[in-house]
Amino acid sequence: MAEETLVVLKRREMSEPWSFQTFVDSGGYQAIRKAVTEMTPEEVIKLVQDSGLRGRGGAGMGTGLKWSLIPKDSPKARYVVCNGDEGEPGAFHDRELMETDPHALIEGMLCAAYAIGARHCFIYCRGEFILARDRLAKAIQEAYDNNYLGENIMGTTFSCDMVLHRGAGAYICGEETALLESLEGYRGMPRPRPPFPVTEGLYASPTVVNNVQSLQAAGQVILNGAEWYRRWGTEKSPGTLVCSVSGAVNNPRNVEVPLGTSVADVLELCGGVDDRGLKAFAPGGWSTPMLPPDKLDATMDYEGMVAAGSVLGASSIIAVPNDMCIVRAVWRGSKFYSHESCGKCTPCREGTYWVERILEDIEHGRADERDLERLEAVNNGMSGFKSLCALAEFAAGPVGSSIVHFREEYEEHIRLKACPHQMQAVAS
Amino acid sequence: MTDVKATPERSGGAKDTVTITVDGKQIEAKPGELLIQAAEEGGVYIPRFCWHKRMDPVGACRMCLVDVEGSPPIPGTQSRRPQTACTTVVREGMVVHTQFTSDEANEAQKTILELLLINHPLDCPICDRGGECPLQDQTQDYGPAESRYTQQKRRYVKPVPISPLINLDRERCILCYRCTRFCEELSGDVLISTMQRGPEAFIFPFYKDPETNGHDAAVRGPLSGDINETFDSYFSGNTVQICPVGALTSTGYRFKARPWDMQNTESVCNLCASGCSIYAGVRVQDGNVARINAATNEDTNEEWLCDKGRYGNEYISSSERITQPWLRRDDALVPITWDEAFRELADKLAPVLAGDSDAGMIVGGHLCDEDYYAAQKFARVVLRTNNIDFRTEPGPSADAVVAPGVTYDDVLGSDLVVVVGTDLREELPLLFLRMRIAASKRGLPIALVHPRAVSLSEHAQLHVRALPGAVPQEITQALRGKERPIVLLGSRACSSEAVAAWNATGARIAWLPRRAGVTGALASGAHPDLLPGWRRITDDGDAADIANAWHVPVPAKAGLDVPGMLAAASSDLGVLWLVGADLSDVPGGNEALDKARYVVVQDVQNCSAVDHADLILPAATFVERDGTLTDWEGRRQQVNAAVDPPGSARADYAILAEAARRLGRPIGCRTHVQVKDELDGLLDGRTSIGAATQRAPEPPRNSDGLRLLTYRLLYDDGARLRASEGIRELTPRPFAEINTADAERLHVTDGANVKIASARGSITVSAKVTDKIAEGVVFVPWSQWGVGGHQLVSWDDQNPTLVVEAVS
Repeated sequence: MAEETLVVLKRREMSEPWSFQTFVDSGGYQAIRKAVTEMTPEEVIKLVQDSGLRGRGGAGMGTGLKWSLIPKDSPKARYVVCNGDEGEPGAFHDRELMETDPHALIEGMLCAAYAIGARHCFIYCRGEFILARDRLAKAIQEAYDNNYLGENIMGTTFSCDMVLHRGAGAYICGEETALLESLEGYRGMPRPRPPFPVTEGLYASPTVVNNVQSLQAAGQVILNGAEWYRRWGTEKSPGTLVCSVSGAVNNPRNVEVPLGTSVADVLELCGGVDDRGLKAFAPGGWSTPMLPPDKLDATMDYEGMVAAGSVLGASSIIAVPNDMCIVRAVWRGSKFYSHESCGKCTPCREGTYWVERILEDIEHGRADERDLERLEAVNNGMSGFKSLCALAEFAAGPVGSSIVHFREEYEEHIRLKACPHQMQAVAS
Repeated sequence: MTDVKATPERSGGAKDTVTITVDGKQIEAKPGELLIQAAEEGGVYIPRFCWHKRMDPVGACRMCLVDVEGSPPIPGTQSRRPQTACTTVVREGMVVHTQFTSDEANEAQKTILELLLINHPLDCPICDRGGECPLQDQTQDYGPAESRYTQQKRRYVKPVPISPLINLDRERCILCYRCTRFCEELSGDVLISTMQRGPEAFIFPFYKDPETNGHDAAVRGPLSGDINETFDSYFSGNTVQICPVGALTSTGYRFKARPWDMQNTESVCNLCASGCSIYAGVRVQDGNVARINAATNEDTNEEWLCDKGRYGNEYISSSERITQPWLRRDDALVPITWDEAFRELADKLAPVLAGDSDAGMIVGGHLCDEDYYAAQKFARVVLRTNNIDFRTEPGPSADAVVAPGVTYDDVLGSDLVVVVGTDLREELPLLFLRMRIAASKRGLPIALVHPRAVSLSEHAQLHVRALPGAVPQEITQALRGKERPIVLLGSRACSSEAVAAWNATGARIAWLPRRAGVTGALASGAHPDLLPGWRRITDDGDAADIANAWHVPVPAKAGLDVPGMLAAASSDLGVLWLVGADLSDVPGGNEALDKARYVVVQDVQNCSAVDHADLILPAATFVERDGTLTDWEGRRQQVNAAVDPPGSARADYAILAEAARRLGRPIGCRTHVQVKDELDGLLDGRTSIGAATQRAPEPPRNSDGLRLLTYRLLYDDGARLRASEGIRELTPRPFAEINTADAERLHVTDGANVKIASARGSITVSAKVTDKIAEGVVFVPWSQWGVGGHQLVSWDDQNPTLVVEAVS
């Protein structure tokens, strides 16, 4: 039986873990103290690189590697930006991390700022996260009051300011360049890359954009060392991972496990699959290709999920119950993507619009065989990395994978000219 | 292949080109260049909608997807991720496969087109853009033959007039953001933007109530009534020209013609001295100029045009055109033939030709070089007088003339451009646009001397709010040590003192005439003290040159300038001949014409001078004749006839040449080539008139009391502009800008009426209380809807002291 391994969630069971007192009493702000007083910025970057910590935002880029890409010779200011705009359907771990341990995020960002030579940090917090916003705001104030932010932190020459910014409710602002546009006050729309944010990010200056969990983990890595962190996980995906689990399980929640833990074990930690039974699961949020139950032994790490035919994404498992109409589920998902597409580039703007309409027709019994072909063609057409950002890929993931694994169910809708699940509901 | 040779670039020093391979073809590109442009220059055209070479890449339409070797793979396939050529920077050795050689690229582009078309209404048969539409053309070349889309298309109210000049059809829009980027990056008039998001996104001016969107499920979106601020930009028409579909259309051109029915003639705009190249599009069926578009000219307007140039030419086909000669008989105008007109002229000019009487000629500001040359030759050879002048607005005296020589490139490449006494956006919009782009994109250093916060102010490093005539020390200091300093003097900042003082700074100086023909008028000698080829009449050698060329002595008696002729019109001048000169808002103009002994009006359309005319001669507009126009830089460009003149109208030079022949004193000048050759011979490399005599700068004016500042806005009362309805709608009402502190002292409130009086006259206009204008100065536009600064100035004083009082 798998067990939880609490690293970034280690304060979850403490009393008022979000308070400054709890944080410092449990070893808080020791990482930044160590970094600033005992290490050079280069040593900090090397340590994080050695730990093998990879970004938890979805792309899995080495966190230390990203920090090392900040140009050393740029005369411009550098910035650290925390991507707290968690919007992936099925993901809710960054929210818990910000709500329970806001000071750990501040500390992680300070470490990043020290490593890259930034004077200013920004937290872009999803607008709907009211509690996280309140606790972060309070924590930032406490950090200023106790000289962990501001001028000459802890009496050293290191100074750093932090700004908390609330998003305005757009999924696309979780995409780092759209986030930066939004932070600058413009419409949240992705920028062409290159240039990447590490060279031209916020205000066209070198910027590190890291996920909440990556920054919190980095703080622990700096305090405890690379080898300590490598005790968990796999060779290529070291450390622990917080997984959000929702859907057909008895105890939906966030669990922290070593990378490489199987999906089955993660579901087991959530009380196992509930009475409805498991039809399929999306391993990294709804945007990642769904897998059938025979892939339950796939492991929650970057390589394992690719081998199983999906991606780790936001490490958020959505367990689809057996009695759910897959067409209806995918159609409802497609409405989300079409609504959240920013509209900047063609494949996503028009593709999500078209896919949503075909799915609606299939679910409502208005489609024929050609529509299924068309759905596949349009879904393939809009994806394949033709867009400016990954939203079109995300939108295409559930559609394409559901057709692969549940083609009969689509065909049944077309044959019956109705949704079989709806018919059953009416009949019973 | 193993036959690899070291390229000379590699063995040499730093490389200034990179070699890429596109579809198997080696192309030399500039380092840092974008693939789409490098490929195009190398002969491979990659289709595009959003990319425009004069704007930053945005990567939005995805039409330019190509296959670049070395790009990351698409998992689970043999393919690479396609790349947008508009955002990909070339690198040495890059190998690219476009739609011509790569199935993946071809398929990707086809997909993009299919997606772009699902919500496009395909109303090409009734779309202005049909026939010259990039969406049509590229669909034909690279798109799918059939659509697989069967659902309902997006619907919007269409079209929505977003200004009196521009209509917006959101159904046709493919969201390439060319229009919004033009406004943000180039013109700076951020008046349209993207509203909503995703498939709901549309371009629109800022509107009052976002909730109006989606009220009707079938037809959505806000209407023109919801618009907060209309798309009122002097450069709005450019968005129509660069729109890759028919989403933005020009009100004046809608449904007028199809592109394949039009003959485009390249010419030069004559509505200001910017020297913009244009295409006059003539619908062959009816011979009307259906539209004016910008032509590409890298030296002057790049590919832009202001709305005055684009939409301000409706007078050409208006019913107000004069199409035959008219004669006043018994207080009524009666139509006559040209033959009768010339006989009437011979009759009235007989005493002048006999030397018993004098005559004068006032020429307007928008004629071609040939007209000015013919007019001054007519005055000097036929009428034997130097009474010829173009300066119906303040213009330079002979010793204040700055011969042209500074170019757009000089200005844009300068390390400090000082702009004195001109609001460029109002006076030379294209020079403004190009300077604004250079300032915002790469920090062109600009310093301003102007009492108002003008459109260039936000880009100026230094702004001294002084009246024209001042030579502020801050500026002369800033000019010190600069390598390529330029001083641009506004049309009203042309006193010999100012010219001399700015000359003394060592900067290259240029005088910026507002009107299109003025540089040509100066070069041709349509000035009482100047002769063709920048010669001075007071210089014996200069006068002898001309006498030798003409075989006629140059009249010795000093000529009258415009105010002189206006004053003499009722006495010494037996005949006053106006060639394209509208005197309606010239100080003393109407009064002088009223009392004049005999007035000949040679013009293209009815104007106030016609009411005073004894003889009217119909002239051709610039699209109806050939010739040359010299812009503010001194660049002489070809004007080409696109249509025939209406009725029996003729080019100005030809009227004068024929009149001279009939009067027995021929001046040649029968064809535009003949005039041009003659003028060329006299110009022959002469662009210098010698430095203006150096005098002490004018002492700063006493700032007691209020002084007037007045100049023309781009949309004013110009006779020709009145025919353009859309521009008329956008023409501001008269107003007076008064500084906040002055207003407080005078108890004037914003929006209230004020009476403004000078020694010459008084007007009552609405007050704008603002800090945009310097303290002690009141700005009143020259002439708006019949009212303006022209009623307050006198010929000697362009900045008179004022008495301002609130009107209850």
